[in-house]
Amino acid sequence: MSMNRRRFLSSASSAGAVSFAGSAGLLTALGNSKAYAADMSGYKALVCLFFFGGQDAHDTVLPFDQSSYDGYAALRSGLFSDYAAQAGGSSRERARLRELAPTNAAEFGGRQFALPEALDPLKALFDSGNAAIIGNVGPLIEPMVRSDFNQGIKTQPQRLFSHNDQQSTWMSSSPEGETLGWGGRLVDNIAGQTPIFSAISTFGNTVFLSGQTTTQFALSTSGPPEVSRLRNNNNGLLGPASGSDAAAQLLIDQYKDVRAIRSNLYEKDSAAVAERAFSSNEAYRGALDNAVALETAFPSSRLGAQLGAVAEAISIRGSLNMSRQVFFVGMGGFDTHDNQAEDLTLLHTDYAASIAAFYAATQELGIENDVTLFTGSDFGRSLVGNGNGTDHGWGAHHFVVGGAVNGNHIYGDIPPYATGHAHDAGNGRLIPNVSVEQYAATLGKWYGLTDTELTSVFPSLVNFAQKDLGFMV
Amino acid sequence: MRHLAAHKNSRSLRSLFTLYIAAILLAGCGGGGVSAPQPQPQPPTVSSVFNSDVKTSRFLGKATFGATLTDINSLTGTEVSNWIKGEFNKPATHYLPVIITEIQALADGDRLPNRRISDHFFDAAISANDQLRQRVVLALSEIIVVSNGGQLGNNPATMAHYMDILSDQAFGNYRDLLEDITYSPAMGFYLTYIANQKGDPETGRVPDENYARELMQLFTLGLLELNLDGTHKLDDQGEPIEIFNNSDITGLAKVFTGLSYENNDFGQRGNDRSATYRPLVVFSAQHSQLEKAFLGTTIPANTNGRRSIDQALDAIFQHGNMAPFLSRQLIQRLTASSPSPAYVQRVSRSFEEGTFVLPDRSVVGTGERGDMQATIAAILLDADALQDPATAPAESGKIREPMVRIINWARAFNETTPNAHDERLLGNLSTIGQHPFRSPSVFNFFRPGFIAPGSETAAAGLTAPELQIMNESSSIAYINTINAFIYERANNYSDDPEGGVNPDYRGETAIAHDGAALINRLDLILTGGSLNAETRARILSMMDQVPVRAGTNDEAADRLARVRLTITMVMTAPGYLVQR
Repeated sequence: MSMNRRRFLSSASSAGAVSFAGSAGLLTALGNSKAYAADMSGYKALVCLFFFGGQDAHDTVLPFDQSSYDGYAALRSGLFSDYAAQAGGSSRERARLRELAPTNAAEFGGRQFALPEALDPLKALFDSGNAAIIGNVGPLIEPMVRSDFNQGIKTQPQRLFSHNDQQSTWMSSSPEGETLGWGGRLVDNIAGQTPIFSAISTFGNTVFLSGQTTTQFALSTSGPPEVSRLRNNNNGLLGPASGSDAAAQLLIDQYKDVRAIRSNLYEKDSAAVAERAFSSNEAYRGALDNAVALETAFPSSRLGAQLGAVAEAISIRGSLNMSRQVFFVGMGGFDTHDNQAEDLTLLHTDYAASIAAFYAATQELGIENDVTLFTGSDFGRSLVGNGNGTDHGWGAHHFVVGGAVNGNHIYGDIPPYATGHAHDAGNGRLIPNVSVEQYAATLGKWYGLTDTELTSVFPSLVNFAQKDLGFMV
Repeated sequence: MRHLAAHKNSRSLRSLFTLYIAAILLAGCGGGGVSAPQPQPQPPTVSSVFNSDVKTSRFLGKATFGATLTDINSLTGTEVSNWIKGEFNKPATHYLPVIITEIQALADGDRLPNRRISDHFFDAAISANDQLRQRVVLALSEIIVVSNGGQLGNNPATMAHYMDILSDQAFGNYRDLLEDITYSPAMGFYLTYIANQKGDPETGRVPDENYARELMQLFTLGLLELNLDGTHKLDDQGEPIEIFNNSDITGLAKVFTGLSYENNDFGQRGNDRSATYRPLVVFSAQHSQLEKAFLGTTIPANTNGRRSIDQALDAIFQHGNMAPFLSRQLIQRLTASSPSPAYVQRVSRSFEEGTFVLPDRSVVGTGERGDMQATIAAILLDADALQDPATAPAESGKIREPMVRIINWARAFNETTPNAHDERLLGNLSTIGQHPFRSPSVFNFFRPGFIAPGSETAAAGLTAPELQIMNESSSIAYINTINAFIYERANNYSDDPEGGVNPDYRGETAIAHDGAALINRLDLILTGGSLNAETRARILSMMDQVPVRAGTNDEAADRLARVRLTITMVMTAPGYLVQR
């Protein structure tokens, strides 16, 4: 990645972030001193659940009406054989699909949709009105259809079909290299709360949570770690000096590189991470002391553990003095070029159970109307497979879950399960009907941002007529 | 006239060519109008790289898995050119034979644990003779990524076969490396092209695109057009230029069809398990007979699989992006997180020209494009890599990878017979952000282009890959992990006190009563003289808290406590964390 210094933002933030956004849109900088004018009363949390690798939307929201289903089965005969070969038979037999009955079913003119049985816990949330489907969402700069794409006459997002670039574009409106993400931007400048825990990740460092003033906190699913055996009598790090406060302080000061004057930039950054590690973990640990353990049980998977940690974090929002938080939770394994029947089923089972547990936890805390979980992924996948897998796509169908969601409804659109239609980019890769920015701006508006602020965070939003997709109450 | 060190190479033509180049250079550069590849700008003069113990330590910290006092003492005052040629000539450590032996020794129904792969890697990194080669193996494993974190964990022999390819080609040629990797079951499995079939117009099925994309995007060229110095070329609007689109991918995908294990049945491993750890073969019936067009190249219809793969790899390998894309990343793995464009350009030239002139005027490399010896020598012996930290720019340096720091420790304290398998902690280091050969995806633990939000390096426009895995969680985990080893608290599986990875602190405990001497010794070995005044002062203050009660029963414990405290304070200091 080269350093193209000509692309500095015009009103550079204190981070001096260099954007490689180009025609994908520069994230315009808000002044550091300007707090959001938006309504930031009460408490709201956004939880981004990101499926790394590109989840196959076609195999997540399936066609159900007989005609569409038959066409789909024919196009995916290889995949359907794999499903049929599974123990217990094919979960994709029409009789085993779970028909959806969205409130806007009539808009699809006879076409019907279903979820696979592995997503039953999530379907229950959909049916009860607490989850919605956003159909065919993906990165877009301006609305496009097939002829635009084939003739190259509209501005299309950069570096389509590339995992890392599309992950970055979902999170920051720009390909890999961008340093500001919209999740972090949403919690910048929240008045009255210390920024330190406004953005929390349980899946490592992510551009999604990086704002102009917001730096993420990496939360370990086993709790905020501390240095082991610091003062463990003679068995500890200090050995014979275990009783000495001065010795303990010296060691911690050294770990934090306190008072060091450094010129090398990598040394400075290493020291900054260490310092934050100590101060943030200590503050979080202090807040956890007052935590009341949740009764809701989470699956024992890595995702279950992450969502459990997020629920716990939300439970101590008072101690942490938070009014707005954004969380990032991740799950890998969705790049199903191969073995899709087996792999996707396991993934579906895991995330449906984990999301349902998370929703139950928010009910237990009495704040289900204040917490919204939404999914995202690099892209959807091709409809025409390669045998027992699928290849990189573009638009995909995603879920939004929470008490404030206008659920049991399909927003956006679900294009036909065929090739050659107006949103086919080839081989059934979908040109999105709605853009990620429209999706995110809808969440941002619920969060409390004004229209002006939303336009600032989402630079391509101006190109779309519908800036609020309507899925939030 | 200096005697040219013999360049061992199995291809005699290459050897002749090397001698030809060397003869021209020795005869007087550029004289007589003889046409020959231009030698590189002269690196530092003979013997300066090893002319002090701190300089020797710093170099070894980059070119091996960690300096040892033995090496520092024996190499200081000698010529680095000889050292590096010696490294190039050392036989490669191989992983497959020992893995096969272990598999064969298993009881029926037992499986070799996934961790055996990284266990053997740790052992090699800590104590094997071919240090530079294994350093390059690790670097390559983070570029041409195959991970055994998923299902490949059940196939250690397949994984070991892949590691041996990296080991054999680390000092070979990148084009050969690409070919060996393409035919490896490990990559075929990991990027899902084993039994990848040609398209079927009736069902609409098309070939799997996974390898076609990642081969170009991650292993050879990247997505954006590059200058030789690694910077992006820009179009008339000042935008970077994408060098391929999805149509190139679908064209190239046709090339990697028909590959499968060598047996009678396409797509089957067959009864002979060794098919999973020897090269894949092309089944012509499943190989695409269509025209294959990508990157401005067209492979004619009805070209067979082997020839198609050969032509495709040639076309990719010859692209202008190949040298800068690879060179910048190799530099990042070895010496500098954000190398200057000039540094990248010099290394790219060595890659393209296939030779490098060492300080003693001898030449390494065969003169073929993609020569790894020339490239590695160019990286390690570049003036940018050899700058004195006291005067080097603030943008120089590289954060040591967390898993490599553990290996540094083991070497620094003379573990010469490691048995990583006996260390519980070495089975899974994911809490510190990475584990050898177990990347979470083909994108490695961190991206070469990662810019750390809100950081000083970001403000200066620098890339900092290792910062991508450093956060509040992993940095504390690193402290606890390294302390478990330093304080010899890491649990072993066996009762053998010599089992596992253990330090020998005798050299340190002997001088532990002298705080300044102890600091100097550890600063030399671990950081090559990069500890700052504040760290030294703090360690000395800590020494005051742990006096040595000489002549008592507590003396040995006091000495050991001082040593361990000093080590933990050094190995968490930014002066150590950042390799200069």
